[in-house]
Amino acid sequence: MLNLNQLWYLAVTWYGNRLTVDSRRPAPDEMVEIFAKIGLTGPFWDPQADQWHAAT
Amino acid sequence: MDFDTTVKLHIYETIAQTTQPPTTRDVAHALGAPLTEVEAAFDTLHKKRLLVPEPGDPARIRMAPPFSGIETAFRVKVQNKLYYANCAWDALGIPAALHHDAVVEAVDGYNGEPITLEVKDGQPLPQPCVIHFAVPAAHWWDDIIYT
Repeated sequence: MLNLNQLWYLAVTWYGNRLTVDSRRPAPDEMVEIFAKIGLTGPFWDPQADQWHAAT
Repeated sequence: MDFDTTVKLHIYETIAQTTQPPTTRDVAHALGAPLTEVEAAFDTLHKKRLLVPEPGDPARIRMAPPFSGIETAFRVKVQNKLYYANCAWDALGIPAALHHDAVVEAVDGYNGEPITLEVKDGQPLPQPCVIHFAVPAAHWWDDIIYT
């Protein structure tokens, strides 16, 4: 469960530069840092098993 | 700037301006580029998780997060434009991406009641609500449309 301020932080961090040349999805290690900054830790918020990097 | 980035910017700028994502043919026409090159760029952007093609029709965009290519329960009003988001996170992602205030109309996932969120002066107005994530982060892209 997230509160509104946590969700806003994720929205700004994820999408704040989406309309710019350098925009990209955060890498898994960056995602861990972003989640931890607002107290989202543990296996549920660990994207390391995500295979996205295998496709890039 | 490489071609994939040119296509990415064209897609997002088109959505920002019109609220609708372009098709591969739209992009090829606008950029004066071969359709095959645009199709390849769409595929690359999908692999980078910057867009999701419509299932069964890769010429169309289902998602260019935070924007949805189809109508959803997450309606985001920015000035006189109506965008659709893919989820609650993306509903706030649209004003974040556009750097503009917005009003979000959605449905409470618990009781089905309408819920309105407002982003004003770059911040969401206080609202007594919680947002539930059902899928672990490692599996969001197993089926991103479901997520």
